[in-house]
Amino acid sequence: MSARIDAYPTHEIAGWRVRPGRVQPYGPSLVPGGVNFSVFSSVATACSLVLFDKHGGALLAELPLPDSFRVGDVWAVTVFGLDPEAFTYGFRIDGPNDPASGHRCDPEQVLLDPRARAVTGRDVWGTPPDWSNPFPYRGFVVPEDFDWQDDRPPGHAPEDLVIYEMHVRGFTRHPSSGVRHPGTFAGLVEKIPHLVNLGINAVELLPVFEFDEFELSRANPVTGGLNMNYWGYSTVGFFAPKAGFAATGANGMQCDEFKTMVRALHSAGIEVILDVVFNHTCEGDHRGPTISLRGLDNQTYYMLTPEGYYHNFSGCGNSLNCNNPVVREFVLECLRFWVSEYHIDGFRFDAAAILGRDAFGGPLANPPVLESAAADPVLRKAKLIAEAWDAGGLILLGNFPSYGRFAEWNGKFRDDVRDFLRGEPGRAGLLATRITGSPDLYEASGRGPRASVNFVTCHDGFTLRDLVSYNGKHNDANDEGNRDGIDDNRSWNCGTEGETSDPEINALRQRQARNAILCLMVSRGTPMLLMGDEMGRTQLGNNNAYCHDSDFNWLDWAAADTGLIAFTRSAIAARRRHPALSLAAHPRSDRPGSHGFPEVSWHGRHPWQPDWSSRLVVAVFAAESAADVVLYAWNSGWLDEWIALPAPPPGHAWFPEINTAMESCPDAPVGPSFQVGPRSSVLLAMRPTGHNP
Amino acid sequence: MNITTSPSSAATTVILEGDITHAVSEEFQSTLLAALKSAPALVLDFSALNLLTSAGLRALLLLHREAASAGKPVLLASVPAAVRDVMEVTGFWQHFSSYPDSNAALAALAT
Repeated sequence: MSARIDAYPTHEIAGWRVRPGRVQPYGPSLVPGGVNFSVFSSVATACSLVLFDKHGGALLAELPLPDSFRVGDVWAVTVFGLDPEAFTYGFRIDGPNDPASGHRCDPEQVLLDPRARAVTGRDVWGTPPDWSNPFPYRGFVVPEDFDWQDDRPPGHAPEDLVIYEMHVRGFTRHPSSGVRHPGTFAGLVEKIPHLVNLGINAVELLPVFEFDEFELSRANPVTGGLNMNYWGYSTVGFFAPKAGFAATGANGMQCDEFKTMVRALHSAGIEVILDVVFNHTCEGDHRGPTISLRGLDNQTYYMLTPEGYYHNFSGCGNSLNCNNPVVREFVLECLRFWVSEYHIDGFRFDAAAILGRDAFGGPLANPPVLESAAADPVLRKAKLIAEAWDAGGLILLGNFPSYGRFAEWNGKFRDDVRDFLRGEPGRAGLLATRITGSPDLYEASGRGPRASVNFVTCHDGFTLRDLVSYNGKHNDANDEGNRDGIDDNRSWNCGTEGETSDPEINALRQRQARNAILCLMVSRGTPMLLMGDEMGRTQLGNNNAYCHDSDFNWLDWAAADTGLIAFTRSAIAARRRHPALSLAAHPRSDRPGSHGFPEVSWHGRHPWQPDWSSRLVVAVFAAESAADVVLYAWNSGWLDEWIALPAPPPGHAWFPEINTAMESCPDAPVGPSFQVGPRSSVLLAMRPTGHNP
Repeated sequence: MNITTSPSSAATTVILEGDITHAVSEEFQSTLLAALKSAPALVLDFSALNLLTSAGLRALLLLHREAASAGKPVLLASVPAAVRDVMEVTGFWQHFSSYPDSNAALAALAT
């Protein structure tokens, strides 16, 4: 017996029993006896549902929808007797095709449902596509039920997070990973112990929405391989996980595999943040393919010039018109979907400044899409992190419309720490600003260090090892004449360009890498590590390895620098051990901390006498609540520095915990003066004498 | 899909052949629920099973839940490596006990 009194057909179209569909929810949904479809287009004069056989891909049927199946601008149909596992689908939209007026309907094309829950066409990563297929990406429906058991979001405070920015495929694709399903969600699960061992409690996944690794692919004569869309910053399906990242993609079970991964990460206390690309889509500019949004409602979804061309604030051909009311709702629905259906803990918005632009590209004072995301009840606990700039030159760092919710990738932290690290003169004051959570950016607005995601390296640019091994980029393998990739690297090769057998240079590079990691972990804000930086991963100086599905991007577990892993673990552990390092407020020198020290005090060769023109920064952080006092000193000069330590109160002494110039620290009190080696940094903790935990 | 049941005192052994998909999931559930009514336990012999789709896995888990609420175990036997693999990475495997073959499953029930 049917569960709904309307679960019966009223029409027959192309041999299929149908009825006018339910308009909400948009997209596909399983209903008693069939499948419901609902799609928006404000310009369509006709809409057909096109069904294909999932096995083999042959056309099953094309169902032109009568006008009576349209409510407002939404076409909806329920098809009965449709085996949800046996078909794929798309829409054929007829309507105006007048690019100068912004319309690009093309009834020759079968369009992907922008809300397809799963997409077939690139099921197994790297399988050569059938280039003759005019509709390569087809939606299919999946069961939405999943046994989450007692899954709970870890819910870490931003200041307690240590984020690991990673590429799902790159993490385990290398044969040395030893996992059963290299390069997949399942493979990632097998390596969770590595993350737990480090002390990581959040992963930030480079794009996992369905994308086409073959987009703009071409033979690369330099490598002899293929240039691919390896990173995936080019969305095909916003509601679909990347099938090629799933061991079960060939079976169409990527959704279950993805959820299983999230559940496993959560049970290890690790949050899952997705790098999401709402600034543009895979449809490119006016020369690009019509895949979905362009053919559905070009003028609504994209920012267009008066001549009907695409604004290109993304650097990728088009710009999604995020503040259009319809598109805004699409973006919000997508975010809510990933939080509610996939238990995602947060998002990093790629080139998020575009989400602050109006339909013509102008910056908005109050971008509705950001305001709505910030206030959305489902997203209320989700981490929202903006890459607060775009390729159109809009830089909102420190000023991103945050509504008290958005944090920012702190590009100034990256730049200033890199400058200090390489020994640029006169940067001590900037370093002090960065390690205290960038109050220059976030104090006046009241946002505080929670707004600052601190990083020295990310997928864009050098790896940490390359940052200390190369003065300039070496992107020849990208086959773009080394013109691609940024030039502002602020790196230093420590004496020779690239790999070397010189033990002194290698020792210095080791120290420099450790200096950067320690600085991240002592700084207010949320630290973010790039995948592999804890192992000494190199891209051989390539600072824009977006196109390589090869060793350039695959983490080589066999080459892991175990000493650096141990160091990274100890630096993260120190951050956790010392509340004085990770409080949610900017530390102030005029507020009491503990043991007679203010929340932060600045020193130099002599206590209480910082020299901001030097290459030496000495900070004491003190937390009132935990009676925790630590001293952090970083000497980025090439000579030893002897610092006279600020006097601890009676019965207490300074104990070294981390010293990048040594493999380990003797567990004994030091003072009254202490040597900070050349280009080295140290962390000392104040403890009662005689007490060595 | 083809289902063959052979009852014994300890359990009814069910040999599943072919594919368990959405198209046959209702038949799968009704046949196995009927078998469950008259048996103290079910041993599902997967040796001739080719494919468990998303819907098939759900039907299997629902059967397991139904059996568990009646206090009756559902054991898996002779699970092909590829089927087991899919069940593991999609989170279904952890719900089941599996044995090398149906005799081993029956023996486990006897202890």
